[in-house]
Amino acid sequence: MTTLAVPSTLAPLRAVLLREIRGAVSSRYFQVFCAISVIGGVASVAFAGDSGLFILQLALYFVSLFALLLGVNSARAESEEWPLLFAQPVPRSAYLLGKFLALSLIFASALLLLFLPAFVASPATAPLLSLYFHTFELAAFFASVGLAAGYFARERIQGLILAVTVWLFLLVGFDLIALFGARWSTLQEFPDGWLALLMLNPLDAFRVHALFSMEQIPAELAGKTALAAWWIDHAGLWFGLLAPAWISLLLWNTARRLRQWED
Amino acid sequence: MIAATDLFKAYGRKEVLRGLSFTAVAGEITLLVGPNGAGKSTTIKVLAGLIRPQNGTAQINGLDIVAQKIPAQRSLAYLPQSPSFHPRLTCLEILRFYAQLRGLARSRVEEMLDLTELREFARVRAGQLSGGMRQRLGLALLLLADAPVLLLDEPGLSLDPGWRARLQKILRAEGDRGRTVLITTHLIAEWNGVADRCLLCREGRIERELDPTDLPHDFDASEDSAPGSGRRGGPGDGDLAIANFPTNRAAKDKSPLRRVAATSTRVACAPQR
Repeated sequence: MTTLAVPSTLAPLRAVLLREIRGAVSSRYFQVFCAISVIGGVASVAFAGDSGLFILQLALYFVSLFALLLGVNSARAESEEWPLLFAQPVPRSAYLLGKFLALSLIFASALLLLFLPAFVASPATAPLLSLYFHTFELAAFFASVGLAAGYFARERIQGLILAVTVWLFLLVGFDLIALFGARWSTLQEFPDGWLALLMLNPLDAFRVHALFSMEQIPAELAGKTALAAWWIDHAGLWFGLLAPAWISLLLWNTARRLRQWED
Repeated sequence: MIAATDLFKAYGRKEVLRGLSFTAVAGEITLLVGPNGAGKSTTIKVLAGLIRPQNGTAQINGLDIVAQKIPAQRSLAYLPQSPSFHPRLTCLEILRFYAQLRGLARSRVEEMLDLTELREFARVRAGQLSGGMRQRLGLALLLLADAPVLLLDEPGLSLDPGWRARLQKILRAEGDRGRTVLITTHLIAEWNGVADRCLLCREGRIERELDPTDLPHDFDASEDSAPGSGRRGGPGDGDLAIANFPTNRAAKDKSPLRRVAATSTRVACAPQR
């Protein structure tokens, strides 16, 4: 009998990574994302007065949404193949991690299409570089939300509905709740509590960091509480830590979900 | 070798496996037959590490599929009932992916393309393949791993008679190479004379062992069959027919002649399904 080859730890991860990249490149979501990125990148230089602010708007609405959709798409792409995949001598978390790494790589590359014209045209590259890095983090966060939604749902359509609901909640729902809560007298006595809620929302953290770093908005809030002052001063650092924390939490929970399928 | 001991699995109140035990040894093709809902597919999923039993143990080549899952899975290859693949990837990409997952050489992929005659479809996307082609790709993946234990859940359902005969020939050869081959099916007549053992599964247990050289043609309507018809092999009376079978393995014969005869029998039987 032939001796069985024992795969190295990284071989399955590499296999999933390459397969995901192949699959994503032929995905319509990805192709549309690239096309809009090119158009958006050129438009940010040609028509917008401040290309950074224009890209910020694209990142908030368009990058986050497409990362989400690609995440769900990736999770559900081979749902009927799961019995075959999960019978392979590879931990289920390796598939998840491979997909996440592949999506991250894809966005790191595709976002260059959006940023490249601004990099070429703008003399101030440092804020743009920072925005590129944080937009990439935002895309990685929403890709992990999409993966989680795709694996937690029973069907693709359920996954899409769940993912878009989370996106809308983070985009507007969370702020509305915070705004409503701010009217509550008890919360007014603890403004840091209100602020902490906002800080936990990756989209708000991204928005605050980007707005304050790009626009140099006078930080009226900064003088109000110590936490607000700290946040304004360290908005980039905070988002830089918050996004990976959320990503780790989401991937860990999704990996648990995959293991629970055995029961 | 496969050793299942006292497997129990329930989904809510529905008990699917109720103390199922059996062994399948190397060099033999073992059939796990039974009516729909008997627990055959659940058993094979437990053995493949896809489902955790609530009680009992399952070992693949001496490795516990729950406690030593990854090492045990290295020793097995599994073909699901209706194999599906990433629709945007080609046959070649899919085969290469599974080869990479197991750390296998690319030459294995080429061998499998030839064995399953998929070379001309190597660049075709899985989403464009017919059911039969997908089964052949599934067969290629099963054999790709060169694993000592092969688990097949209702194989060949979408294959034409010629390829079903070919599948049996390939599996017979794998058995003769020392592989442990476990096949679940409710179309038992197709495997008449090919298998070395046949275990009748009913209501989550192994009821008894059947004579693998003389299996009935139809098992589907077994639950509804009127008792005492006394006829064997006709449509709809599979269960009664099974009840009349001897439960020994005396007829086991691995002569090449039997295999040729068995292959011809199965091709002749196939249209009767």
